[in-house]
Amino acid sequence: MKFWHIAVKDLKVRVRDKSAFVVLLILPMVMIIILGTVFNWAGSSFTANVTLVDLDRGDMARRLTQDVFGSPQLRDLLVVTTVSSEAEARSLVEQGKTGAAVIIPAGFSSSMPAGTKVSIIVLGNPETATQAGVIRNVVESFTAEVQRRQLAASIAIRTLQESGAVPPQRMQEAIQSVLHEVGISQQTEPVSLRTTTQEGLKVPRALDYYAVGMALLYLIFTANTGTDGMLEEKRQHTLPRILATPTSRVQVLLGKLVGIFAIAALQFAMIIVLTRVLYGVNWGASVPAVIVMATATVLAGAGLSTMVAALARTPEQAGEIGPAVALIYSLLGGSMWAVYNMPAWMNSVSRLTFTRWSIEGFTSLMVNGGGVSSILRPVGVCLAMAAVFLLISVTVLNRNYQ
Amino acid sequence: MLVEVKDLTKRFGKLTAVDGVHFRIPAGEAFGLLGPNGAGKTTTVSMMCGLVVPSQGDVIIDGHSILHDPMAVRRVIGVVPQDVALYPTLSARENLTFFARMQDVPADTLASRVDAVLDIVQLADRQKDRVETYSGGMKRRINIAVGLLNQPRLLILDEPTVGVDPQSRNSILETLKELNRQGVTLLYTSHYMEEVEFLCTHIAIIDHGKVIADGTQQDLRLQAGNKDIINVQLVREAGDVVRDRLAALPGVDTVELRDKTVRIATNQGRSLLAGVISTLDDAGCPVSTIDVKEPNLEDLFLNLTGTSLRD
Amino acid sequence: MFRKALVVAGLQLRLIARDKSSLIWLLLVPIVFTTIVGMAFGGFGSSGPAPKVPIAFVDLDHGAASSMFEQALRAETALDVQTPSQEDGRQNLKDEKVPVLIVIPTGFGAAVEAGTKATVEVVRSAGQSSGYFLEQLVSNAAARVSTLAYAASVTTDQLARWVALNPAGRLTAWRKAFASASTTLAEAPTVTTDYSVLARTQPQVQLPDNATQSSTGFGAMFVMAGVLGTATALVSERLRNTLARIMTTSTSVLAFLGGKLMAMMVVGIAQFALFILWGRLVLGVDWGRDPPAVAAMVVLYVFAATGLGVLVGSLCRTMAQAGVIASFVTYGTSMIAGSWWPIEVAPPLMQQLARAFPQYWAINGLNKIVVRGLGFAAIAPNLLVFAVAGIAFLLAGSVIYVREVRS
Repeated sequence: MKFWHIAVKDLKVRVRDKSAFVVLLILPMVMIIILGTVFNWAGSSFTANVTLVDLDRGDMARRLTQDVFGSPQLRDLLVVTTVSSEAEARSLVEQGKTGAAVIIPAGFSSSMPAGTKVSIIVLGNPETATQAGVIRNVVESFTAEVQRRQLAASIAIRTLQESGAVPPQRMQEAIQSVLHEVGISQQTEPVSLRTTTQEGLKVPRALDYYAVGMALLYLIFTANTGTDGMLEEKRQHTLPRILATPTSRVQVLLGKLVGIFAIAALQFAMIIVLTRVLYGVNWGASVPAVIVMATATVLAGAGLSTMVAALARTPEQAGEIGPAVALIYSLLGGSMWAVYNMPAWMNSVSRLTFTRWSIEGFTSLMVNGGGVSSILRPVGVCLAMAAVFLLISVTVLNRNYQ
Repeated sequence: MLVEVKDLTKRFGKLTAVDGVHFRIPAGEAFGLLGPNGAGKTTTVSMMCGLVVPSQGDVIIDGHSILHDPMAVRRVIGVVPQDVALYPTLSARENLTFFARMQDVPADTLASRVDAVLDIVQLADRQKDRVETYSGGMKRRINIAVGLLNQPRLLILDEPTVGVDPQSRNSILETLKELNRQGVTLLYTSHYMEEVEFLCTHIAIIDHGKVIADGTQQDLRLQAGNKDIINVQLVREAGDVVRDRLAALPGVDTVELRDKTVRIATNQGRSLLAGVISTLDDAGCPVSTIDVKEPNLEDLFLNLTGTSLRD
Repeated sequence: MFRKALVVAGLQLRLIARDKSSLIWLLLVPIVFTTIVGMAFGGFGSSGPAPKVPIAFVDLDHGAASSMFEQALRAETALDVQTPSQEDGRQNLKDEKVPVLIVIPTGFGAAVEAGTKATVEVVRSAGQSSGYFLEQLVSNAAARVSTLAYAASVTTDQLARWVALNPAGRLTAWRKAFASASTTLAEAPTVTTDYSVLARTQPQVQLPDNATQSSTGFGAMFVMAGVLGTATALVSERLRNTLARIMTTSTSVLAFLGGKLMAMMVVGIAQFALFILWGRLVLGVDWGRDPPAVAAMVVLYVFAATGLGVLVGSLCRTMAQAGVIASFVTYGTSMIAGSWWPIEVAPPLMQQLARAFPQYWAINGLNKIVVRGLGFAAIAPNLLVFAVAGIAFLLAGSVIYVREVRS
């Protein structure tokens, strides 16, 4: 039980440094609130600024400007400003004052029955690539729809003309009928896709995902500050003093690990509770399962920090290795980019990080609502990694004192 | 024998820091390990408490081998490292309580042990203050107190007085002497000859990783050349006649005379002084100054290595 | 005083240069990181076509519609369409050899021809996914088949108003119209979207690709990290008592601070310069047509970061604190300021908040030069922000530090 006394002593030392303690617990909260705000709002309040020039003023143009831009799905997404000339729109894009300009050329509507070639011009602002992309997609799906109806009309009319089935004097009537049908069709896309995932994987909400990602990010940063405690012991010469007592190295490292664990676990718990209360993040139905997953994760994080402490020879080195390890872990481990969006090679490499497994565990709890038995694999991997970190630390510590 | 250090060797790459060191310490003794900085004292001590694994050799303390049962060894020793090894933001009492637990001091006697060592180093009244508020000497005393927590059979002190003011140093040395009187065996390393001479009955002199002399203080003095030296400064130059008369005095071994300086080697320095002075007066060579220098460990070290201990 | 400051700066730089690990983290990690991100999420800007993404296509129907679907997929240059058996396809998906399996079920053609809803199965691998991009391509193919099928259905409906069509006749007419629509569409699409991006000097420039985005965004972030990391020396000198010792010499606090400041500037500028060179030579990032403007951005941004560094260094009491705060300031504020994702996706409040951080103005200014091809006039406000912020941070930091040192 000596490791327990070491952990308690570490906590005492940590708490005495009040400002550091505040930095550890308050700053992450502030960051979570800021980021939570971003992600909470990202879905609902993203808007794209469109500058519209309608040189056509015809029926088809109105379909785009009123029916499409004004549709319930797009009404809140697009903020449309109308200007009268292409030059004006162009200059607004150039000055970066709008996401993109949409220019409907004169004669757009009348070219429809004629089947002549016509294009809607979209000018994107390169600085707001996302807005420009959204606007481009909206206009492209509109022109595709128009194209679809236009093509249907022209093929139907040509077929009727060539088939000889329609008496020449009633041709006009037939054409009107065709145009009427393509005008009123509700369903023009008979082919649809049904996307499933091989293992029935469901994806959590972005906010939920990032709550996990951020919790892991802070865990690593916090664990890194724990690293400093170990180096402090080296600098104060208290580490060799402890090692000269009948206390084994495993006990010492376990003590350090438990000390870091306690602080990191407190932080992790605060993040879970805070994101639950403030943003309604769904951490899963089973409280024991969340606790087990969090415990395994924090253990692995504490193990990582113990290992960095054992590997670094000076506090300065730890100060540099620490953030770099954190960065690599969060970059590969899925804290910053969802694992679903990773390219294949990164997806494979990320399995070397415990954060990746932890994210899988937490997201599985989030979307499947399973119990402890459903996360045995990620929990096992996290614990195994914690053990490996500890083993490396013991080996390094042994080597350093010989 | 409480301690047996056998053929202890430590190589760091090509450097041999400790080279076949060999000594024994009977229980109750105050044993000094004297040597200049970098002689291998700290490495030897580190091997004795199992912090550094020897390249060769072994240390047996109270019947336990440091190689095979380091935990048993650590249970019977107390260690006072060269540097102050304490948690600055914890109080003295918190530091002592923590290290007592590390030393396996039983929970029921823990508080009384902490009280006891605080009394020994006379810091009971400051026990609740953070160590970072202590003076250098006080930190040193707590540093020593930590080594006493487990009532060690052997207390290993590695230069415990480095950078300590003379007053604190005397207090520390008196404390240690008292502990030794109470039966604690001491292993005291230092490069201060006076400290070792004051405290230790047995002394090993170490240089370049090797023990170059080993024995009681008297033994070593004898090794140093066994002679007192009487140095006389004369008022005027003396001749060979004077030298012969001095050489004829009983107990005088050799006499060297150069200009106004006479150097007499003898076994009985002080008792010979009166005779030397009267002899010179009689010879018409009045004495300007005279002193007796008894051989010390410094001379022994100089004799053995050709260099001074302090350099 | 200036000479003293130079000596302090020289010492600091030597200390950094001696410390191999700090060199690695200052110079190597940012470059590796940015390259990985650039590669992972976009491919190189100018180093040729991206490798094709393999997809498995299983056609259980073998009709005109399904072959049109396959043809549409094959027309996508980014795809490598493989046609394994259904079992092999599923196995390949399981083995993560292909990210997506497309299955055209039996009866697909019949459903399309009957004008009823027809469904294509798209199965994504659980382990990996190229996500949105792949789905977009597959749905493009589906849309194309829909277009043709719709044209054929309208044609058959209209024809049936004038002539009696038995089921066989109707089918023949449908297939003929489908083929005819396919030919027409392939020859000359009539209604299109003409999309282009406006940038003054490079009218045909594409949207900023990921390499560019990550070069400006991460450049700003890592330079902040490097400068703040160097600023922690202000704390360590105080803790190590080397500062007290320097203060006993005839060197003033201001000369000392000035020296540290110079060292931070040198580190930051060197880092950014390396970044720009790496982006230009390896990632193919076009840094615009106005090198002096880029240089002005870099120097003044580094100055603002240095001011922030002095402030952080003067406020922290322990190295642990300095480390944590430097990390949070670097990575946290860089997130808000738009290093990680384009600022436009953040909520309006956050977009306003972003303006409080130098990184925002750096990314914004560099984008003006790099993406829009603008020059000095356009970035003047950004430069002004850096100068003002830098001086303000520096003054506040110096006052606190000097007071701290003297007490």
